[in-house]
Amino acid sequence: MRRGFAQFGLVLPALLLAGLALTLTGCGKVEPPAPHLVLEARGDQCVEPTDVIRRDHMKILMHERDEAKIYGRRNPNHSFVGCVDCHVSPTASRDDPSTHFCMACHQFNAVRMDCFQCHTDRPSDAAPPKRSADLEVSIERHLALQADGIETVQEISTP
Amino acid sequence: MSTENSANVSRRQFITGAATAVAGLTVAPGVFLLKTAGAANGADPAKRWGLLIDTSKCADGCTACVRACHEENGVRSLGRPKTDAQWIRKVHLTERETGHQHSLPVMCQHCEKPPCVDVCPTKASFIRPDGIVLVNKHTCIGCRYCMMACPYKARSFIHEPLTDQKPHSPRGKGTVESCTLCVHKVDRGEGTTACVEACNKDGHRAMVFGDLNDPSSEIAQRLKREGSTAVRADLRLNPAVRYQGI
Repeated sequence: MRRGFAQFGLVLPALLLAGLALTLTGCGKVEPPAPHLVLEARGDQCVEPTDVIRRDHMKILMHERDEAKIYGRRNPNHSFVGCVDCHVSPTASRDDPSTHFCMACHQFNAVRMDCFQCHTDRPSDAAPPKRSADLEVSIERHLALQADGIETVQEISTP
Repeated sequence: MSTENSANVSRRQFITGAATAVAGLTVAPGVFLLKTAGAANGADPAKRWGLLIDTSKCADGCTACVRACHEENGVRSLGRPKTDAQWIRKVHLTERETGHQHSLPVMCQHCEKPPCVDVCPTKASFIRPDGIVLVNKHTCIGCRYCMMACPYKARSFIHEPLTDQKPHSPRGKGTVESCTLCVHKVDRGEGTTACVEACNKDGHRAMVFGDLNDPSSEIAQRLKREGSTAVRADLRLNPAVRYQGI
């Protein structure tokens, strides 16, 4: 009885320690994207070593975006469109983050990003999703409404 | 004395050498980055891109430029025409005395002294070294001062969440946008814009795109030879979009 209790007394702290270790590992870990996401994407080799790009991709994008936008100096290796083109599967959807290379990881790590509020979340060569008669009709309607005098510029004075 | 001197020199040399080595190490990545990212490409400050529009060749009822622009940049109607974005629009003019009518496309005029840049509180509205006026949507807070300031009503505000943007043309809710003079094409060195291409394709040839600062370019030569009108020239904004026949 006494011996059994001693055994139990050793097992409990060991379990606690193991649990703590697992929790800590989970905190610091960046979940790699699911294998099917990597397989579907075209890129086999990233522009930077994997550990660098995992840790610093946001810094690289943030650092060079002003150069690109304001001065037109673009670094093709660090282009946002380049990341999406290479890594995101053509069938990925922002409605289902688990299918999307960027969003799967961001969701897992609970890091919110604004990139895809403006930037497209699909690679350039992916088939446009709603490129159909609906779009044609909406363009037609848009143009027709413009032609019907919706525009507010009525006259241009030319001195 | 001489030995002391030489010792001093060698110490100084050692220290300068070490400093240079450290500077080389720390600066090298930055310099390398700038070189690969910048020197070869980027907006050329020697250039000033502009458009010349001959309204006598612009056909009434033709909307090829509007359609091409909006397709190129992924601008589409959300079914609410009062708030739908318009990067370019056709304006119909009637002379009151004679009844003479003509129509012309109006878009961001890419002023040399843009009022939209003057009023922007976050410097999100800016002019590129090559004269293209753009909105940096990373810093745009959607205050719409620029829309009020623009005498051409060239800018639009995005009221609703968007999806399916074009890769070269990011657009999103809460930011202001306008004609970019197809800056993605300019940066690729194509030397044309979607509207000009569409106009040429339809055979009207009413629009010319080019470098106003290059005396040998078609646009500069025609401007010199034939003259042009700046819309609201009284404001002295020196727009890069010029018109003939108005």
